[in-house]
Amino acid sequence: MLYTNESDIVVAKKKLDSLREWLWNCRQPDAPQVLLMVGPAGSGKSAALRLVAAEAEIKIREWNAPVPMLWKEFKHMSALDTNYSSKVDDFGSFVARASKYSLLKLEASQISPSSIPFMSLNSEKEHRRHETDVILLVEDVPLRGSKEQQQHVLDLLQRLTRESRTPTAIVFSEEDLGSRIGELQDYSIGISTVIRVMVSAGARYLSFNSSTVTRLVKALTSIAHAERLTFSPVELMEIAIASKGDVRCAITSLQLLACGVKGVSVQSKESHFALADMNRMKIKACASLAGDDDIRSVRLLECRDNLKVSEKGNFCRDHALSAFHALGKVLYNKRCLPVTKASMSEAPTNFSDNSFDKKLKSKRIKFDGFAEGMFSLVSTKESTSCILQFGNDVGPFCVHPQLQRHPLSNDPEWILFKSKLNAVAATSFLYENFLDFLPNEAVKDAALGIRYLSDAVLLLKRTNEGLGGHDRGGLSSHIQFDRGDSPTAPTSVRELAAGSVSTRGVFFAPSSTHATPRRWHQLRAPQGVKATRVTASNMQELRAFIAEDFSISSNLAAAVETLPMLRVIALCTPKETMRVPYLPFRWTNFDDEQCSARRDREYPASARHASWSGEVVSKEAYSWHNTSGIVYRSSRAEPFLNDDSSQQVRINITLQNIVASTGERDDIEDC
Amino acid sequence: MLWVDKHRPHALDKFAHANVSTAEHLKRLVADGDCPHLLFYGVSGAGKKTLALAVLREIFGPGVEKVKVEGKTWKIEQGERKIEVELTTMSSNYHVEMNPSDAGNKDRYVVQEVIKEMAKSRPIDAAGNQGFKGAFYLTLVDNLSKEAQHGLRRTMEKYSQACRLVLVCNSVSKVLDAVRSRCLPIRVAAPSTTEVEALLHDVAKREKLTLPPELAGRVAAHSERNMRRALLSLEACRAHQYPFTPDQVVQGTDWEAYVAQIANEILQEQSPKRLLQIRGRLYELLVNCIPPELIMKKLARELCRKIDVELKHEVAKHAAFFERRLAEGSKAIIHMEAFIAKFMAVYKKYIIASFG
Repeated sequence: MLYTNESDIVVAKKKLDSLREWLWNCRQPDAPQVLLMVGPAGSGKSAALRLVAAEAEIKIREWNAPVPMLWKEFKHMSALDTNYSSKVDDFGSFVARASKYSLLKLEASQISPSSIPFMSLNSEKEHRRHETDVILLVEDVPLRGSKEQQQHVLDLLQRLTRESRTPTAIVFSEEDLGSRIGELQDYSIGISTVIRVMVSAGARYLSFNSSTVTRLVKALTSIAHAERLTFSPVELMEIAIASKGDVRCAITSLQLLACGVKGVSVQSKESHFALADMNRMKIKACASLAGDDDIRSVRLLECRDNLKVSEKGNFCRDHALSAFHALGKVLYNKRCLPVTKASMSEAPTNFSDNSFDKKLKSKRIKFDGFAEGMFSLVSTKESTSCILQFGNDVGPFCVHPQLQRHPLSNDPEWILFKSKLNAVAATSFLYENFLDFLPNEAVKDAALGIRYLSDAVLLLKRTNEGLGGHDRGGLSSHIQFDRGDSPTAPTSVRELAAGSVSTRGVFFAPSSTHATPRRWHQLRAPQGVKATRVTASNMQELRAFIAEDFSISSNLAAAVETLPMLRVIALCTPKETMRVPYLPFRWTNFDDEQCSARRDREYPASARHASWSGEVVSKEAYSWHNTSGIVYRSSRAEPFLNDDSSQQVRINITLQNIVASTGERDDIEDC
Repeated sequence: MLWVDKHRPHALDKFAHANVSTAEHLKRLVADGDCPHLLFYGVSGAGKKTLALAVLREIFGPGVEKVKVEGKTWKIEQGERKIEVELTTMSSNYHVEMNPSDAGNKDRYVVQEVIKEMAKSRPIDAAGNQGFKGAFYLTLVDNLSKEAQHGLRRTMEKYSQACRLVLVCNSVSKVLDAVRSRCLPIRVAAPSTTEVEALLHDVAKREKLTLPPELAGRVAAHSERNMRRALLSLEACRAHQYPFTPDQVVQGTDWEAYVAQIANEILQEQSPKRLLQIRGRLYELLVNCIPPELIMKKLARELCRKIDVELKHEVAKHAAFFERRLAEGSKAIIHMEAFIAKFMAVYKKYIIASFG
């Protein structure tokens, strides 16, 4: 569907104006030529561009993304003498071509109007191309694949931004937060990186929000009007809400709804149903009222589990739960309000609907792969009363009062399934943030929760092995990246089980006696990745160190024994520094901001002294830090205790004592 | 040059304090002519590498000590896939030294392909006429994956005509039986404390220092029968203060002090907040390449030293439980923290029960 009118489009006028402004400015050679448009799917990015281009009578040329050829396919076809070119390569050649365009354009802009007749002698066609401006539109940037490929694409984008003299619009569909999790886990370059790189290279950046309900309704009304359909505003509103700001989705829904109901005779029926819909919304019992001849009621039934009442639409986007919402659901430990015992004990088998069956299944899985002791604990998570009925073959049994919890308001497996979190990510995120949500006296709960997370990690590790994790990266977070196209689909029962154990463990751990403090916490990204990265870089230094020093047989001995002692020796006196053969030049510590290597630090006075004295020092010796590293730094960085000043003071004092007595560290050990 | 290197015995007949009889046996073995594959095993700092290098020197002469370090990327084609393996090797004309576990999970390619290539391409040296051309010296065999060890076993048989392997590992129980039976296993025991003391006195004499016997005893005790540690510690003491005094502080490593400090913090307060704070410390230790098993061991020891007898058994039990998980699973930090949290819970319960 093409928009030719500004009033039809769902994009805000302000955005359109800034688009126009960009397009206008493009005619000046030094203005930003590249526009980066980022927004959720269906927010009208391309449509807005097309509209503006049509207004200015500018042609749009799209980059025809080739059908990507798989490597295996190529192997199969290689007899046919075709050249292999990946999508990234194609993009690269496109960028190269784009800069060729720029050359022509540059020429054209330098040519004064008087010389145009001369030009037209050469080639009529080419001249026309100069006259009618062209916008290059890139919609399908291949930001996938391995890290190197992604970096390559980033470089290409940067180059395009710098070199292009033709107006170029690059459109990115912003995924929801799920993809940012991936970014945090360091296996894909996310949109924020693209934005950062391109803006720094001088691109104009325009972000789009998903369109508002009013705009959608307006657009839908005009479409309905054009198609000569009559829909009640409420219905259109419903469609608009259900599509969650996606224009395409809304229009398709409208089309499907309108199928076969065109014409005046049906209109009354439609409006009748619209009225019924309104009523349903009011009494919030849509499932019970069934318009059995209408397809919508079926959909309503299907949607009812997933959506809140206000969002119940006829054809809704199956919206994923964003990762942070999912984590919040787990961490805030939402439970149903305590129900009176009497009402619950009346109907203990009331759970035998779908969701409970699902839970039972997941439990069986866990039962197979796990120690027996788990069973009683896991099964009590849904305990609403003392008595639980498990199928027909197991009799009811009582749950210890300490193990009783209120029923969960969300099914943990459902949360994991809906969000884009896989078990690895979920476990590491929960581990990172879980402790924040516990009151300060609940050590026991903390111990229990972390114990469950450790169980989950154990399961995940075995998943790795079971799939033959030889060529996979050492990090378990990379595992699902190798496995295929759908990173979110858990592929093994073990991974499912691990996800269940970690989420359910965190759900179960806070005992009901401690009230969870209901305040806002900032979720942190897991630090494990950072730690792994820093460790890897230090390990490299360590290897260099070993290669330098003949006496050490292993990494372990170097890290644990030799290196720390060398530091001690190097710190004692300037003279002694020279005795130390070699200390790693770059050594990164965990606390360091952004993991920057310690390159820029000052040479310790001792090392400088040594090189001044004119003696031959084969390697300049650097001490790790001016005092014995670790102990010193721990006193500097106390970010956790900011809110409790008295405690902070106390700890700082004790640590300063330690720092002051670096020489007498044995005493501290003994005390 | 550090004392550890300076006073290292280079020849088999120079062993004076530890491993004297082992050195004698090895000398006879080499003199006999053919030398089998060798597997040295023993704890860290017992002198495995010293022995191994001395054996190589005994076979090939002093030329072994001229080593050059080489970082090279090996390209291996396996069927359809091409694999690149980066490996740093140290080689002389006679031997190549490498640590295949550096290649991570590509270690089996190192063991199979790289060694094969090197064994093929090595020129026949005049000095290598003792029945084999060269020796491969592999360190830390126990860190290799099972596949790599299987590969090693094939390599050992296939190229036993061409070269000899000298393997070094800490724990022989992690080495496959098949590999073990193809080598001559040589146990290198940790020196006794008196041996370490004698070593310290000897080194002090050669360095023309006067070493009080009390200090020597304390350094030796502190070293936990690890010769490298003892010598480094002595040198640090020398750097710290000379002339020596009998009651001088024995220099320890900073990470151990750090672990002790963590233990203190755990005992001071037991709360999720403190746990979070300790997590940062643990990361710091891990980042400094301290193996998690060692942290766990040291931490459990520190904690056990400072708690009541009644608790010790339980704490040891939990430490053992989570230490096993460390060995089994990835993400060491979670298991370590699980142990600390468990300890906090147990300790707090005990404190509340006994003091109210």
